[in-house]
Formats: sequence, C-alpha cells, structure tokens
Amino acid sequence: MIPVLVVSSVLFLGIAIYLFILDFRLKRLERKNYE
Amino acid sequence: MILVLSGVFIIPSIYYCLLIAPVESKIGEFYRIIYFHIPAAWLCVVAFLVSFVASILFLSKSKQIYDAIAAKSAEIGLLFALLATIMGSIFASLTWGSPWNWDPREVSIVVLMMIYVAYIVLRSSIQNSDRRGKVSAGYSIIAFMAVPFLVFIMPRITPSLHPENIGSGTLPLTMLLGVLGMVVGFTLLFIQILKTAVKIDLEGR
Repeated sequence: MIPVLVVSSVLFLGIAIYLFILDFRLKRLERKNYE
Repeated sequence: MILVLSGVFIIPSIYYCLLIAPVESKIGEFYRIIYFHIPAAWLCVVAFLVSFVASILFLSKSKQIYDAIAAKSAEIGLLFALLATIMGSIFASLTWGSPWNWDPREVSIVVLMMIYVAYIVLRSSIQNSDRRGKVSAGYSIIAFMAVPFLVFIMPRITPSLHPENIGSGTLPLTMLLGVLGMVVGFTLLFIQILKTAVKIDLEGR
C-alpha cells in the first residue's frame, strides 16, 4: 500500500503546485497588462 | 468552478480507490496504482486530440486562441504522458520485476512523447507568430495521425504484458467505478489547467 500512497500523494501534490504556479503567473501577467 | 467540480469527483474517487475497491487477487495492493495510471494515460490522448482539433480550427479560422489551445494542450498532454510512464514504470517494477520491459504500450508512449517533444521544439524555433501557428498546426495534425495507431492498434496486434480488460469490458464493476470516477475528475482537472494555461499564453502575446 505504501508505494500507492507515495505515487498518489506525489501526483496530486505535483498537480496542485503546477496549478498554483499557473494561477500565480496568470495573476502577475494580468496585473502587468493592467498597469 | 471546474476545479471544485473536479474535486467533487476526485476526492471521493481517491477514498474509494484506496480504501473501498477490492484487492486484486494476483497483484495485491500494488494494483491500485492503475487508478492513477489509467486516467493519466487517458488524459494524454484527450489532450493530443484537443491539440489536433484546435490546430484544424486555427488553420481554418486563423484565431490566436486556437493556436494557444493547440500548443498548451500538447504541452499538458506531454506532461500527463510522462506521468503515466513514470507511474507505469513503478507499477511494472513492482509486478513484472523490471521498470522497463519493452512492452508495446511502453514503447508507443515513448514514441508519442518524442513526437510531441518535437512539436514543442518546432514551435520554439519559429519567431514569427503567424508562421509558427501555421507550421505547428500542420505538424500537430500530422502528428495526431500516429496517436490511434500507437495507442489503440499497435498494442493490440503485438503480444503485450498489459491486460486489455477495459476494452473488452471484463474489468470488474467495483474497479471500473473507481477508474471512471478518476477519469472524469482528471478530465475536469485538465480543462481547468488548459483554461489557465491558455489565458497565460494569450495575456503574454
């Protein structure tokens, strides 16, 4: 069970970080374009 | 909203796949990796399909949004193909004894990744945005022609270690339920990622 838990945790953590970075970049670009 | 909806599918599915779904008699608990491996593999095919359709639309309508969708969808598809390969390798090393077995599906996904890496390299090598859009759309349309052969035909005409349970409908309903829940959740997650990535691309132009 441990490999499954490791794989799923790393996968979803990775996707969450990726989404967070994308969102951060989008907000920064929108602010820059607005200014 | 889409993110919340994907959570509505993914969170109960994770609970179901890890704690409720029955243990596979031959492989044991390790088999649960398939609940993450199959949706990732599914998503890479969906992403390449979206890239293909967006490329056709870009060539016919010349709207920048279609070029952005095609490019970002191919990138996300590549990312999920890589994730599916890594998870598949972990699963293979735990069940078949080696992370790489020259299985037709392993080879075909690597070939697919190489085709789409070439797509990204091609895009980055052209400076003129209009020319880049047209050339990469043409490449994307031709590249997608290989997808049905590499994903659906080649692994079925050559001996494979992969079971063909889902296609033949023999996957037990208790396992199929988990796979379907994750597939729907992952697809919604893909829509959310694609939407944000396309917005970034268009804002940056």
